[in-house]
Amino acid sequence: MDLFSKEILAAGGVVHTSQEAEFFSPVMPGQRITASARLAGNSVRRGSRFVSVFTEFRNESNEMVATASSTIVVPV
Amino acid sequence: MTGDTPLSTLQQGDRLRGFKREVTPERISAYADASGDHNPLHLDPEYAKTTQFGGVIAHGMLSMALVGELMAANFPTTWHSGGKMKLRFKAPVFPGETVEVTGEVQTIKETANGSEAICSVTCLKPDGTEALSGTVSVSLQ
Repeated sequence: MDLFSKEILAAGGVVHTSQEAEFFSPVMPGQRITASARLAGNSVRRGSRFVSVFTEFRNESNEMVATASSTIVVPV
Repeated sequence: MTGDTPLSTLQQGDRLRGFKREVTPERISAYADASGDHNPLHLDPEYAKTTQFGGVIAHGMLSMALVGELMAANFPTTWHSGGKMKLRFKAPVFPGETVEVTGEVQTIKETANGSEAICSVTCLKPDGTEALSGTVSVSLQ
């Protein structure tokens, strides 16, 4: 994942094209939330790389409070 | 319009109570600090000039946050307990532009937990083009 992050940052011209988010329960001030992200998609179409990242957000009781899915375009 | 409409009487076609918001450089900077996204595209005019946008643009997520504000205002008793957003970022918002955030109830759907409203939402730039658009679902219970 570190190498992947460096590749994205070095590319420049990264554009966030779409975002999904689902919220299951409110988060209160002072709570600690853990975000876990994984690569959900990585494909090249029409000269651009489309990368999708899926993230889960859990509270201290390990209950899922939200999820998010981001799609970014990285120049090839 | 919703916000004053009891959720039990919400109908397909009801327009959400929208608002306009100026996206100032200060708001963009504050969003960068709050989100941790300090991509120079949003903060560094000299860097941003070299990009396809030709200048600094606001975070797409900043516009998405405005949609969150729209939903919280129209569904104050249910939005913070759960909701779903699916949005596409279509055009950049430049510093100083005032955007208009609006939405409409597309359908009321019965679920296992009660009913939910599915709304289309949009964030319009001053020239009428969409900065973003998509669908947001919110419980009515």
